[in-house]
Amino acid sequence: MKILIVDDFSTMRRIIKNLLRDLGFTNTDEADDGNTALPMLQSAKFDFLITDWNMPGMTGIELLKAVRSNEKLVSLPVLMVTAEAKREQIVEAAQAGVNGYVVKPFTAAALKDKIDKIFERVGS
Amino acid sequence: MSPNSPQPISSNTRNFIASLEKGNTEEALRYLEEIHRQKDHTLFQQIGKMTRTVHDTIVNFHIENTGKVGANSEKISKMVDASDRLQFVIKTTENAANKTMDMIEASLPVSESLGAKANELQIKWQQFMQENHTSSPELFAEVHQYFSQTSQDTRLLEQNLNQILMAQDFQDITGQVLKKVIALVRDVEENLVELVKIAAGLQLSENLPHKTESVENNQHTGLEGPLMDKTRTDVVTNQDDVDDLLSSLGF
Repeated sequence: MKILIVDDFSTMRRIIKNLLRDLGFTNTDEADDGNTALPMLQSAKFDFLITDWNMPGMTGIELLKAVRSNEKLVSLPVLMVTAEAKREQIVEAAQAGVNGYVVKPFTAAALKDKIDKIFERVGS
Repeated sequence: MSPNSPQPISSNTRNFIASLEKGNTEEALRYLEEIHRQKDHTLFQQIGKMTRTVHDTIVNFHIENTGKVGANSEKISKMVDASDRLQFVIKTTENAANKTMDMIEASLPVSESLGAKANELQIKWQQFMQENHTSSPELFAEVHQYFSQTSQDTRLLEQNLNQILMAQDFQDITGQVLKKVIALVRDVEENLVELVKIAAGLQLSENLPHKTESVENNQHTGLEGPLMDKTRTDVVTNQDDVDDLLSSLGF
């Protein structure tokens, strides 16, 4: 299981990376915005994408849309972890095909719960 | 002041009252209009003075900036200074968060290997106790208890370290807020410079465009980052709200 973590704040990338490690996912990679993430997703096999929304360059929602419109990546599970909490934004992310949405600040339990749910759904 | 300087407000006010007392409504209205016009005139003069101060500060800043900034840091434009200070806060909290996480990442494996070793020894010790149950049972029990406790305590230690790790998310949350404030300060400065240019060109004519409109319109659109106003109804306030909203959309 290889996971890509995309966030412009290195603090948040480290937190997510360590939480994933505690959950047993040790194979992770990092990118600081959509422009860096997209080529990584295209050139290597990732099984899961965790992305922030508000980033300079390419935002998380743009990355999500790019992933969904790419033949190779169309079914890649995507979890959004963001401080953006407007209802219309959550609706927009859902319509763009996000698999889960976690608002910051979040707990380790919330992250684990969303990841478990996504894999349950993807697996079935 | 214009050359045909108008009468002061006080005399217009007296004339206004006098006209009213005479029952001359038309004349009274004319005085009232004059009072109103004077009020606008005073307001524009005030804006003019403020604009001049801002303009001078910015011009002085640019002059000093091309010279010796470091040696003369107190004279730097306060707004640019404010942005720098906020940037400094972001950098400092980021360094502190990283140092904390370095220590956590270095400590977690220590705790994990302590716990694993205690587990391993506990099993071996149990076996040893069964084979040599006649000699010194108290010591056997005490060592056994120690291995068991160590294994539990290290797990608690790891949970606590993970909590400390999670708490470092303050850096991301506060950093996003500070970046927004820095952008706002820049916006205000740019708008003021624009105002200075317009005011210089138009000599404070009454047609000053409302430059702040676009800023106001942007207030609740686009990306907002962490939520400060808990009374807003167009935003979710916790993860449960997010989950409810997504379930209502069939997720």
